[in-house]
Formats: sequence, structure tokens, C-alpha cells
Amino acid sequence: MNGRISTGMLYQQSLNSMLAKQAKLAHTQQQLSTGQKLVSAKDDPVAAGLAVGLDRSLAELERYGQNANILQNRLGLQENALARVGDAMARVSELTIQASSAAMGPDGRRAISTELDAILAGLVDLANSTDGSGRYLFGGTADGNAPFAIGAGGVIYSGDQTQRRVELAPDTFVSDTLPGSEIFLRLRTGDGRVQAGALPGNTGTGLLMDYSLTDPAAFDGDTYQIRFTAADTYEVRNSANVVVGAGSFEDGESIAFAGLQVRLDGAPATGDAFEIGPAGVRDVFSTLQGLIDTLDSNPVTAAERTAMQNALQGALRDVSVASGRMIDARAAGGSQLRALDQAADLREANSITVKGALSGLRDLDWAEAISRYNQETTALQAAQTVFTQMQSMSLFNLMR
Amino acid sequence: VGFTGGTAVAQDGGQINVFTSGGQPLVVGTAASRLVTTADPYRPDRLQVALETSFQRTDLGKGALGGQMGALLEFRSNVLDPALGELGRIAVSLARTFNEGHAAGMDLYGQLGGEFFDLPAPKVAPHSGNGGTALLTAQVSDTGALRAQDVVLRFDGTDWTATNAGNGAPVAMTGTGTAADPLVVNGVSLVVSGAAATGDRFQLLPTAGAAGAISLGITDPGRIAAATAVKGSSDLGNLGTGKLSGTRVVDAGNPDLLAPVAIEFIDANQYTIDGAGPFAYTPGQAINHNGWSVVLDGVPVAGDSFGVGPTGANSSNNGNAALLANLDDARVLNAGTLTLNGAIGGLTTSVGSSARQADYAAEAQLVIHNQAQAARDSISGVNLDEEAADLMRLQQAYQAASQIISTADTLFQSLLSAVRR
Repeated sequence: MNGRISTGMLYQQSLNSMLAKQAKLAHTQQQLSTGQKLVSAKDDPVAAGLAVGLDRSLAELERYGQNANILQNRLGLQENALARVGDAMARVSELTIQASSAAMGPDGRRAISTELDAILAGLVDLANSTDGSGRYLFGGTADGNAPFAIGAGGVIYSGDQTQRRVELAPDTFVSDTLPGSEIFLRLRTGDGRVQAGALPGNTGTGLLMDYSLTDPAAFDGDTYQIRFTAADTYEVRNSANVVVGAGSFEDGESIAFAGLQVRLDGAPATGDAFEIGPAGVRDVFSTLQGLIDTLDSNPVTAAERTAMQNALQGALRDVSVASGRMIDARAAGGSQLRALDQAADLREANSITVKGALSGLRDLDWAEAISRYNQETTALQAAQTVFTQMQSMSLFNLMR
Repeated sequence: VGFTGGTAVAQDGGQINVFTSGGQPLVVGTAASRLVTTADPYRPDRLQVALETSFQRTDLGKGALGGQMGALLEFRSNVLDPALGELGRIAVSLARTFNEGHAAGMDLYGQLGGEFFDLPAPKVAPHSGNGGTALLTAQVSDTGALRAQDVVLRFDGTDWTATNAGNGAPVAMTGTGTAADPLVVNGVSLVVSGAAATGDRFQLLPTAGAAGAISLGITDPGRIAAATAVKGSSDLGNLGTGKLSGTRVVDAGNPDLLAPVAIEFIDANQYTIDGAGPFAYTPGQAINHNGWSVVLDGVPVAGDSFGVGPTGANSSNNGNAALLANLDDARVLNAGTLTLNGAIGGLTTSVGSSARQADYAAEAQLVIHNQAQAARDSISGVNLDEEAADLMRLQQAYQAASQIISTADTLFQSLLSAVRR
């Protein structure tokens, strides 16, 4: 460009610079009014692309939070139900101990049996607890209908055994409520490893006091019978009816064989037999029902009383195994609730990090933007002032 | 010229000929060409710009036009179409991946999941000048190989060849076009029906428009297949601690997927599946059968049995929903290297950078424009001060000249008065 500047050009240049400043000002204004650095993706294409992904992460975290609320509600309800189940089981073992007292007469036993009836009904109701939205807590994933029903042949479980897992933080899954089968059903009988009992036809007063598995390595898993050949001698037969041991019996002394130990009290009659073998499985409802039936049996003879005592002892063991399972289930629920809290912490931390990153990519630095806005306003005003002064500055004005 | 771009060439005799930036004549001598719109040979709904002279019509392709019209056309072909295609590709991939996952689940009615999204088939548009009766039907066959670019298919009399519609580069294609051996190009299978004539051309638009045409295939919320299709359970009389977990569907297409299966332990280390076997058991092993997979852990004992069967109606199982929720991070695009999220982010970035690029170009052009204007104005423009100075100079010269006349008049008057008596 040479030194000559035309008036039109002068005007044009001032106009151009004012327009450019106005465009900048408008952009800053837009940034200030939206609070965002990126008005459109062209302001920073890479940041805009990243922000899309981060936005989605944030939405996902929010969704996880809502999942966690629902799960917390369900686990809390499970905790409440299991606490009440635990109370009921404690009451059951108390009543069983009370019933096995020698001083208890038929009326007392009837009263206990009536209370146990009520507890059994209450237990079924607890097992059929709902989560407040029409779904049953202990039905696994087949929880549209009440999972437990008492039929003629015992309890009928119509739930399934699937335990839902809910994602509460990225790749962090927490289990939902336990399926009822894991709490109320499939409880090991006896002491959890072996079970023993008197055969129904016993005529003596032999009481099964205690039994245990003392040497798991020596136990072959067979079911053995201790059969009294006389009042003071016995033989041990395995399930193939082969005699594997024999000995003389003294009241209150332990009998040991095949890694097992059995202590009998009282006076067994000839032909009486006791059976010991690996523990089976039973549900808590059958245990209670069996207990009620035993208490209702109203024994008359010494042999019948002994049979009831033996049955009550067995029931006490079953109840204690069941109580143990309820406690385990509560503990599992507690650890799930803890995992829930940990997931919440993780979500919180992630959310802060993601928001921080997003803010760095997209949010406006207010101090910077406001000072820039002021600067641009000043620059535009200066340009406007210069323009008005420039146009008044003409040789013609001096010629008048 | 502002609309089309181009150059003006002055001729002898004061005539000016005007050409487009691609060299096509707009005005030559006294003859002016007309700009008209013509339909795209593949897609009649789409208009192109053509130049009509008195004797012929020339399509103005890419690069043949500048100016505002050229810019709009370039925007359409370089930004809008690729963005539409990419958006469509993301939509198609999302729908296909989701449908695939959905088919492996079970809905509230106990049925296997149906198509969650209805997806339009890729469009194949025949060239308007095709002589044969051939028609091509296309469907997406491989999400991972799917590309957004349009492809031109040409029949050379014996074989089909594929080229990129944008730059004409050859594209790999396999198959012969029969139903048993379809043409496969960029993850799209094409079946040719009818007879193609030599030189017939088709344009394949694999994904363009798919984002707008995608629709929900199911309307009943109960049809959402949120549950894992199969579930495992252990027999309630089991004495061992064996436990089934991690039930998932591996192959939703297996016809026996929902058949109930019993896994029975004949001793602690061996099991049978529906009587078949025995198989050796190692704790924590996965058992794959009938298209499902379960993990069996713990210590089962002889006689324990486990069952795997259909989940059934009205289940609150969330297994499949949890899988579907994480599909956005599944690497399904570009042969399993790109996630759907990544693709969306990438699309945003590429459109944004196109806009940024245009911005930069506009800024650079503005500077050039201003420079040129300044250079022109410095020569031909008017400076008012200059004019004022000239005016004053001329005014003074005029005044000086008037002064001379006045002096001469005075001289003449004094002479006249001297001789008058």
C-alpha cells in the first residue's frame, strides 16, 4: 500500500474494525450469558468431542445413583425382615428349651405349640415380604408372586435362585436381596455335618445326648446304626447292614467309631437303635412344623417321653443351624449395604472428577471473560470515538 | 460472479467474457449461458447445478463453481453428506448392536427379545441412464466393517466393481451378487435381481438418512427383554456347596437355548449334562451348553443336581438390561476398534473442526479482500482532504487570475482617463 489513503477506504477500514470488534463482543456476550466457553463445537473441536463423552459419563453416574436408592430400599427392607426372622428364631429356641424341661406338662406344651404355630405363620409372612412396589423380597427373580406357600407336603417355593446384581458405579456391581431359597430352605440338619436320631420304634429310654464328627478324615459318609443287642451291649452296622463294630454300653459314655462320636444316656432296651449319618437338608418351616407336631404328640409312656426328648433335641439343633443361617444372611445384607456406601463414594469421587474435567473443557473463566468483555467494550468505544472524530476532521471544515 | 465465482477476461473491442472458476463460459461475446438445476442421476430428489448454453447442458461438478453457490455445494458434499452418513452409521451400529443384545434376553412374557429398533435397509439408487433391469437389494451384514462413504457400483458386462463416490478410489468388494453369494462391500451385502446391462451404475448409500428413519420396533414396555434368557438353579435337596452363577447367553441363535438342562454329579469330581458325559469338574469352571454359559463353583457331592432352564415370564431378572446398559462402550465400529461413544465424540469433533477450518479460511480471505480493496482504493479512491487542497489551490489560482484581470482593468482605466479630456 502506498501512502495515499482514500476517504472511502478510511471509512471502510474503520467500519471493518468496528464490525470485527462487535463480532468478538457478541461472542463474549454469548459466553457470558451461557456461562460456557464453548458456544459451538468450532470453538474447540477436540474439547467439544471429549465433552460429549464426559456428559454421558455424568448422566450414567446419575442413573447409578438412582439404582442405588432403589437397592438401598430393598436391602433395608431385607434387613428389617431378617431382623424379625432372627427374633422369631430366638423365641423358637427359647420355647424349645422350655418345652424340653422335664417339669413341662401337656398343657404347657400345648401353649408352646400354639405360640409356635403363630410364629410359623408369621415366618411365612415374613418370607413373603414385599419391597413396597409389589415385588417379593425373597423370590429371587421370579418375584411376581408370593414365593412361599405351605402345602400339604411342606413348604412350596415358587421363587428362583437368581440373585440380581445391580451396577451402582462403573463396573461395580452390588447384589440385590438374597433369594429365599438361600435363607429359609436347604438348611443342613444335625450339627451341619452329621445328624443323628433315635429310630421311631425304640422301647427303652435311651436319650441321644450329644454327637459330633471328631475326625472328618476317618468318616466315609455312610449312615451307621447303633443297635442294642442287649441292655448293655451294642453293635454298629453300616448302611449295607454289615457289623463294623461292637462294644458294651454304659450310661453316659461316648461311643466312638468311624470318626464319629455319640453319647447316649438312659437305659436303651434290647432292639433299640440310633442312627447317625451325614447331615441332610431341611427347610426352616418343616423344622418348625415337626417341632409343633412333636409337642402335640402328648407322650404317655416313658419310651414316648424319651422319643419326644430326642426329637426336641434334634429340633433344637436344627433351629440353631437355621438361626446361624439367618445371621449369615443379615451379615451378607450388611456387607451389601456397605458395598452400596462404597459405590456411592466412588460415584461421588468420579462425579467430581468428571465435572472438574468438563468444567475445564467447557466452562467459562468468569474473571477472564468479564475483563475481556470490558476490554472489548472499551476497544469498540474507542473505535467509535475515533471514527466520529475522524469524520469530523476534514479540510472542508477549516475552509469556512 | 459473486454467486458463482469466476473470472472476467476483457477482449479487444471492449467486450468482456465471463467464465466460472472451473472454466465454463458464463458470458462469451453476446451469448449468455443460463444456470439451471438438474436432478442428480442417482437421486431425483436431489438437485445439482448445470450450465445451459444454447446447444448443450453441462453439469457443474465439484470445483466448477466458486462463490456463494460453490460454497453451498461444497458444504453439502464435504460436510453435510459425510456428517449425515456418519450419524447414520452410528445409528445403524447402535440399532444393530442393541438388537443383537436384546435378542439374547427375555421379556416380561417369557419370550426371547425381538427387534428393539426397526432399521431401514441401506439405499441403493440406480443411475437414471441405466439400460438394464437390474435392481439391487442391500442389507447391513457386518457392523464392524460398515463405512459411511457412498459407493458407486458399476457393471462392466461380467463383473461388478465398486468405487468411492467421493473420490473415485476403488473399494474392495467380494461376491458375485447371487442370494447365496451376495456382493459384500464395506459391510453391506447386496443381492442383484434382474439383468444388468454393461455400464449400468448404482449408488449405494449405506447409512445416509438412517438416523432419521430409525424407529422403535416395540411399543409395549413389557416386550423389553431385560432378563437373561436362561437361569440356573441348584436342587433344594443338594448336600454340597456347589453354586451356579454368572449365567449368560453366549449364542442367542441356538435353537436349544431354552431347553431345560440338568447337570448331575455322579461323584464329587464328575458330572453329566442331561445324561451325557461324564465330564471332569474343576471348581469355578464355566460350563457351555446349548448357547449358554454358567460358572459352577463350590464343592458339590455325589447326587447333587443343578438345572438350567428358561427364565420364564414376569421375571425381575436384570441380567440382559445390565448388558444393554453397557453397549455404548462396546467396541463395535471400525472392525471392533471404536465405541459408539467414541464415534459420537469423533463426529462432533470433525464437524467442529470443519467449522473451525472454514472460520480460518474466511479470516484469511477477509484479510486478502481488505488488502486488495485498500490497494485499489489507494489508486482510484477519493481523498477529501486531497480534493479540498486541490480545491483551495484552484480557488487561489482563480483568485490570482481575477487579480490579474482587475490589475489590467485598473491599468486600462487609468490609460483611458489619461487620454480623455
